[in-house]
Amino acid sequence: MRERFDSTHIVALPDALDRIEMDALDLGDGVIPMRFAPDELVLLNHTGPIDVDDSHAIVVPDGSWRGEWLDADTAALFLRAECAWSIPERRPAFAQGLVAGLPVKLWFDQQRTLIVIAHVRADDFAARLAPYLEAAR
Amino acid sequence: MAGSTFSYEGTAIDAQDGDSVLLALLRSGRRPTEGGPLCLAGDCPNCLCTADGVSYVRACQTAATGVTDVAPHPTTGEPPLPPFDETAVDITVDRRQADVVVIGHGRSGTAAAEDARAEGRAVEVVDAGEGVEAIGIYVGPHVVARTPNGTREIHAESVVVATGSSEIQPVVPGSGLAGIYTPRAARTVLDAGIELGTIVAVGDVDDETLSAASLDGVVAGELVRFEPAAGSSNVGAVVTKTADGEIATPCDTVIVGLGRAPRDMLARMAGPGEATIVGSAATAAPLPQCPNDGVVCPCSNVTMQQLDDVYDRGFTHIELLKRSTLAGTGTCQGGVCLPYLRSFLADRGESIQPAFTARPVARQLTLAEIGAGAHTSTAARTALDGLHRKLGAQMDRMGGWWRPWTYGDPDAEYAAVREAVSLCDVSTLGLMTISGPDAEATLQRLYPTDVSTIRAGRSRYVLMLDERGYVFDDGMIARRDDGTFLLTFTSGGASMAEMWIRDWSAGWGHDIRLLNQTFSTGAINVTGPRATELLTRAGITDPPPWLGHGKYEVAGIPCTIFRLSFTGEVSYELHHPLERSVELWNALSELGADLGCRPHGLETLLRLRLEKGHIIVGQDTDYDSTPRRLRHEWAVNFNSGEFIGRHAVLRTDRIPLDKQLLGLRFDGPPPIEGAVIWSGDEYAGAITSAAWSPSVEAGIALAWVYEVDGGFPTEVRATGPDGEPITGTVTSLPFFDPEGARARA
Repeated sequence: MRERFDSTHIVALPDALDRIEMDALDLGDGVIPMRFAPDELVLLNHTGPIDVDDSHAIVVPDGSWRGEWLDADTAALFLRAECAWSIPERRPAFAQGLVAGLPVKLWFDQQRTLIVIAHVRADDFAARLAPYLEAAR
Repeated sequence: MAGSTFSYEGTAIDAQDGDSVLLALLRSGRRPTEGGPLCLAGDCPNCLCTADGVSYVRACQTAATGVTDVAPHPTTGEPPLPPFDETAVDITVDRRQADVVVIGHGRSGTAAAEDARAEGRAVEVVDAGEGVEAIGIYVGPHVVARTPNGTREIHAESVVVATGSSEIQPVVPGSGLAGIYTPRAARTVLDAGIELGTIVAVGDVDDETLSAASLDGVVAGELVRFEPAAGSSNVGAVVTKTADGEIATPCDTVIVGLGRAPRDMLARMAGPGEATIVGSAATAAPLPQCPNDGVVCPCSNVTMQQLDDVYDRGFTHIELLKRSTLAGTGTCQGGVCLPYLRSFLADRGESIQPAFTARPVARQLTLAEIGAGAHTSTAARTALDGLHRKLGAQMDRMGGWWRPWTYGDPDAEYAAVREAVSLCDVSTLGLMTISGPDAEATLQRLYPTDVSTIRAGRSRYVLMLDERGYVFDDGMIARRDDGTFLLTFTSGGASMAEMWIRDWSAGWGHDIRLLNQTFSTGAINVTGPRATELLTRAGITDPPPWLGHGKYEVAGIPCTIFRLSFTGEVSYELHHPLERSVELWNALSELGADLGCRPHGLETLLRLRLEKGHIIVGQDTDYDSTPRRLRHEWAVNFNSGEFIGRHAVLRTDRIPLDKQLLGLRFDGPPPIEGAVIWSGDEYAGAITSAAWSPSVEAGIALAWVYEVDGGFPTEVRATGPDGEPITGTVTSLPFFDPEGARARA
C-alpha cells in the first residue's frame, strides 16, 4: 500500500456530514469523502480546519490510512477473486467491507479504484494484493 | 488410439481421447472398486478411486487426461491421507454475482435461463459437462462450483436446479458384484467399444440400449438376486422370479432398468425457498419396489436387515433411519438409497416422507480447493512493528496484535524500568473519544464510578461491568473538557467496548459522538525513575501530575500525555498520531541513550505489573469475575447512581464469597500459569499469572483461591516448574512498593 493519506476524521450529526460530503469538491483537489457511517466521515487528502455544523463534533487529523490506486482491469481481477460482495455500479461510489479477508474502504472513480486500509492492517493486505499487481504488470 | 497413460497399481493404463478414468480401467479389464452397479453418471459410490493422491474421486467423472496415478478405493477402512505437498498449487477463486444461478444446461436449465434473461435478470449457468460443476449450495443462496482452474463462488438471489434424473440402482443380494450396469451406463460403455461379454437385460430397459447391447437375452420376471461367477467377484448369473419359479440366467454383464429418480442432491442442499427445481429433477417418480434383502446404502454399507432392525426399535421416520444407520450420509448423500428408504417406510404403512437434506459438497475436493480464497486471520501491527523487528524483538500475538515479547535480554529490560528509563509500545491499547450533550450521562451509566467528579485534565481507572456485574474490560476515563472524554480499554477490548457503548447509548436515546481511535493513534509508554528527566529533554518541563493528562509537543510531535502507571514506576503514556510513531520512538531513544533508556517487551511488562498486583482482564479475570471477587470493590461507587451491573453487584455482594483473586508468594520459582493449587487434599483454585520477581526476590503469582472448609486458605500447594511440590503463601497486594511511592514520585 504505497500511499499514505493525510486526512480529516469527523464524527458529527448526520446532517452536518451530509453538507460536508455534498460540498467535498470545494474542499480542494483530490479530496475524497468516505462516509464510514451516518455519523462518521473521513476526508481523504484533506488537512486543516473545517467548518462542521455541530458544536459537539469530534474533528481530528488522521494520517492512519494507506491505499493503492488500481486501474480498472487490475481492480476487476482483484475484486473478482477476493471480494464476495456486490460492488456498486454507479461512479463515483464508496463501498466498504471485507476484501481478501481484511476490512477495506473502496473508492470507485470513473477510471480507477482506490483501496484504502488502516495502517495496522496495511502490510498484510499489501501481501495479499501483491500477486494481482504482479499479474497486471 | 491411446490419448494418455496413467499408472494403476504399477500397471500403465492407456486411455483413449475422451476417456474417463473409469472407461480406461474398464477397457483394460479393471475397475477401481470390487463391484456394485455402475451408473457412470456420478450418482453412486461404486467407482470411487484415489487419483493423484486425492481419495473418494469418482472415476466415471474424472477425465483420464492429466491423471498420472490411480489407486483402487480400499475395500475396508479409509484410504490413506495424501502426503503433505509443498508444491501444491494455488487454487484461484472466481467470485461472481448474479440474479439467478441455473445449475444444469440441459433442456430445462436452458429454458429457465432464457426465461430469467427475458425478465432482464443476470443469469449464471453452471454445468459439469461444460467444465463448471456445482458442488454445493450454501445459505444465501451461494453456489460453489469447481472449474478446471479453481473454484467459482456465485452469490445470487435465487437458484434454479435443473440436474435431471438419476437411474435407480438394484438392491438385491449380490448387487455388490461387478458387471452390473444401469441402461445409461451400459450405453456409454458400449459406445466406448468396451467388450462386456455375455449381456442380459432385466427390468425396464429402453430400446436404444437393447439395440446397442446386442443382447444375449432379455430376462423375464422380477429381479431376485445376482450370483457370482465361480471364483470371481463378477456376476455370473442373474436370478429372476416368474410364475414358473426362479430362473437363473448365466451372463457376464447384466443391464438393470428400474426407472429413474430425481437427481436432487444439490436441490436438497438449498435452504427453504432458496432453490427452484425444474425438469426431471422436480418430477416425482414412482418409488421402486421395497427390497427384501441386500445392501441399500453402498456408501455406508447399510443392509435391509439393518433398516428392519432400527425400524422395529421405533425409528419410523426417514430422518431417524438416516441417523441411526448412517444410510444417506456417504459421498452420494442418498443418491442410491433415498428412493429405497422412502419405499421401505411406505411398505410398512408410513406416509411417504420428504427427502432428507443433503450436505455439501457433492464431490470430493482437495484441501487446496476447500481453502481457495480463504485467508488466515491476521493480527494488527502497530506503526512500530517494523522497528521492533529491526531491533531484534521476538514478536508474538496477544490481544489481536503483534507485540514484542522481548528484545533479547528480559533482565536488562526489567532493570531499565526499575532503575533508569524504558520505552514500551502500547499502541495496542483501545482509545476512543466521546463527546456530545449526553456524553457524561452515558459514561455515568456505563461505568461504576461517578464520572461527574472527574475534573478536566484528570483521569480515573475504571472497570466495565456487564449486566450481571461481571468485569469484562478495564481502562481509564480522562475528561478533556466539559463534554469531551478520552476512554482507554484493554488491547483487544476496544471493538467490543465500542459496540457496547453504541448499543447502550442508542437504547438510552442519548445524543453522543464516539470515535474509535484505536487503529489511528500510536502510544509509547515512557517509564522508570528517570522518565521525567527524559521527557524534560524532549521539551516537556511541566508534565501532567499523577492521574493527570494534557496536550503537549514531545520532540516536536503532538501528544496527549497520560500520567499513570502499570509498571509501578513513574510512567507517561504518549498518545500521538500513528504516522509519527517511529519518529517519536527514535527521538526518545536517542535522548535517553545516556540515561540507560532501552525498550522493554511484553514479558517484562507482565512481570512488572504482576509485582504491582495489576490485573489483566481476560487473563486474571474469569467469566464470572465480580469486583468483589477481584478485590476491586474500591473501583465501584454505589453513590454514582444507576450503572450497568449495579443491581447484580449489590445482589452478589450479599452472597457469601466463594473465591477471590489473591496474591501468592513462593520461596522459589512459581508454578506455571494455569497450574492447579490445593489446600490439603482439597482443590483450592488455579494460578492466573506467575513470574519470578527480581525486586521481591520470590516467585509471585495471582490466583483464583477458593473457599475451603469454610474459609480461605493462607497456604496452598502446587506443582513447581520442575514437577516438585511447592508451597505458596497468600500475600497482600501489591507485592512491590505497596505505598505506590515510586509511581507517584
